[in-house]
Amino acid sequence: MMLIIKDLHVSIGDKAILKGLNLSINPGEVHAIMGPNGSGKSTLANVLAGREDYQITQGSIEYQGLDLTRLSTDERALQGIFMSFQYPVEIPGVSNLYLLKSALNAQRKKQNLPEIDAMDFLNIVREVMKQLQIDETYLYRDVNTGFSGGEKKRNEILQLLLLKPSLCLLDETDSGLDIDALRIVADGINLIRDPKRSIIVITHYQRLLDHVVPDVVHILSAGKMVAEGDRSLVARLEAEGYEPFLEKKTAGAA
Amino acid sequence: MSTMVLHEDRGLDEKQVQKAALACPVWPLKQRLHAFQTWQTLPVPSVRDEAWKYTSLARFEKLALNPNKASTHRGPFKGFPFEIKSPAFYFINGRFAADLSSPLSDEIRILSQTLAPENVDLAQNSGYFESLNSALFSDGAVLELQKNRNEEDPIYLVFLHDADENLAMQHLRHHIRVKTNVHSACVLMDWNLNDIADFSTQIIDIDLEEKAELNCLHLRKPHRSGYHYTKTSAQLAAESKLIHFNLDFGAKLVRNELTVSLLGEKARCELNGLALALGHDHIDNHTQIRHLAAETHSQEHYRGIINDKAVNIFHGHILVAATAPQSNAEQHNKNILLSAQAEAYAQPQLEIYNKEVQCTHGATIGDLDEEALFYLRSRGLSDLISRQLLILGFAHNLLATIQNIPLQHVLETLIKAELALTFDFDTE
Repeated sequence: MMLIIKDLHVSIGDKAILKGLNLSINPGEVHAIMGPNGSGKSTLANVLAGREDYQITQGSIEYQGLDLTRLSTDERALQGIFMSFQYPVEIPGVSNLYLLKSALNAQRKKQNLPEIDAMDFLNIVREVMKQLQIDETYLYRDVNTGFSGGEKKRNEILQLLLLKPSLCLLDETDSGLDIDALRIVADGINLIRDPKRSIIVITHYQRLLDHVVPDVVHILSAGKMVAEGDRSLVARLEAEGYEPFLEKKTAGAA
Repeated sequence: MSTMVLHEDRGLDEKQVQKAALACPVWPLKQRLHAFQTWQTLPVPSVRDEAWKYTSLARFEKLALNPNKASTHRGPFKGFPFEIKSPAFYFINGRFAADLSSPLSDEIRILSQTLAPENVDLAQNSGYFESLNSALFSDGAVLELQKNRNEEDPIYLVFLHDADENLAMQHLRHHIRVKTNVHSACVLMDWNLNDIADFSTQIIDIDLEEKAELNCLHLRKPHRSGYHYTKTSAQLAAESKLIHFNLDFGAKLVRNELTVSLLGEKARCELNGLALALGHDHIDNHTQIRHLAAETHSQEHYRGIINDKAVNIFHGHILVAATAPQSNAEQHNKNILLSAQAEAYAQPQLEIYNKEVQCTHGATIGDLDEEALFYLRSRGLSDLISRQLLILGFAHNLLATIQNIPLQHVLETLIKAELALTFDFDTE
């Protein structure tokens, strides 16, 4: 298994956000997680990426046979977990080129490979940038600084394509994208679909899932998975909204 | 209650003033003695003075101040990383070193070699350190910049500190004038050569004539235990522009006072400052920008990186006079505190007498951005490297304004070494 989450309870401060979440993902699968605002979608992604302000109060997360909770944020990244941020962070004074190169070299170091040759690196990056229709001047700009919302998201996908993670967490990558940018980003994601790689797509909307077709769709509500299905669930959600799923849960619990 | 300090006990007397007058007769003994007497009657600035609120001279005022001896040091200069290809003029222990320097040209004169006082334009100064400087300065440069010179090819003034006794003094006085329509550049460097701390003062006057431009970088890398005072006053005529970069490595005391008077219409200035305060360093930057004419513009970015028990102070006064409509002023001060005992004080002070102006200012003091740290770590960079990268990024953001790329790289290397940053930031 790529990922096995069992009975996960997570809080931030005194506030419980995830309340017994279960999720299992096989290599090669794309899972979509949908749910209303405040249901805990972003929390799940951030907990998997290793954000430290969340406390895991109960449950377990197993990633490729490892107890993920014992790994630091950077160790997780080096083990192949990548989160595309909902709000990519601006880092003035640090060039995109530098970040990309350091991240790639950190990964290579972990694999006992020598640092990448500067020319080889540029060739690889240029290739990926072409796919994403990103201008080369991006490389020399400070990380996300002054980027538009769409540029930031594309920059996340650039990193994703370069770092080739095993588990990709896409936290509302579609927000802030216009139709054309959405298509480009989706094409990028589809490009890395691979039998050995798993992808979690967190989204509010159907539109990204029209391009990146999920194998499994989950509905998260109030910190728990309340429904699971195939891609047809997305269409049902679009038609009926979250309400029926949430009510069903209440009825079932009563 | 102010205590009278016995200056004689600090090793200072009129003999030293006489010696300075002999070394640099262009500033006559009479004026020097007058300045010395002024200094003797002035109380040492105290923390009760608003302008010295966070900087105590209590320890300084008890220290013996020693005359400096001529240095025979002619290099190689320890740690000096600059490969200077453009004209460079060296001063060592407050004396011009002709043998180290480029040939003099019609753009530069050396005060100690100038005999006719009417050729130099030096004003009497009245403050505590200024009057001491006026009494004792032994040399300095007078630049009359009349040729275009870009930032990649500046004139260098290098002030080497090679004290043979603790708190040996060096006092220098400079005047830089940029002629009408001329765009020029200079780099001033204070560089410490040995393990003995000194005490230095420098007074720099800058005059930009109409449509003149000056790019001036002042780097100070003093001994950690030294005391250093610099006062820079710039007067800008119409449509002239000053770009000033102030880079400070720390010492027991670094106090810089920079005043820019935008006298002519459409005059503008960009003031950048970066302070690295570590250990027990104390760095205090006071800037004052005076908008006195219409459509004058100022931009100011001062930053501090503060670790250990060091202190960094920024006081930024912006005055917009009633005579300066359609002016705008922008001031930013950012500080990163790397330890719980590090201290930063930001004091913006806006004084605005005209309604048709735009002024913005902002000051931040804080730790490294946790969100940015998480972002970098989520890309596989270790906690240590991520922190270092954010620190250097913070500095680089300002250093990137330096168009002299080889110089920018050397400065970055110096900063990395100072902060013991262990990674390679080369983005080539």
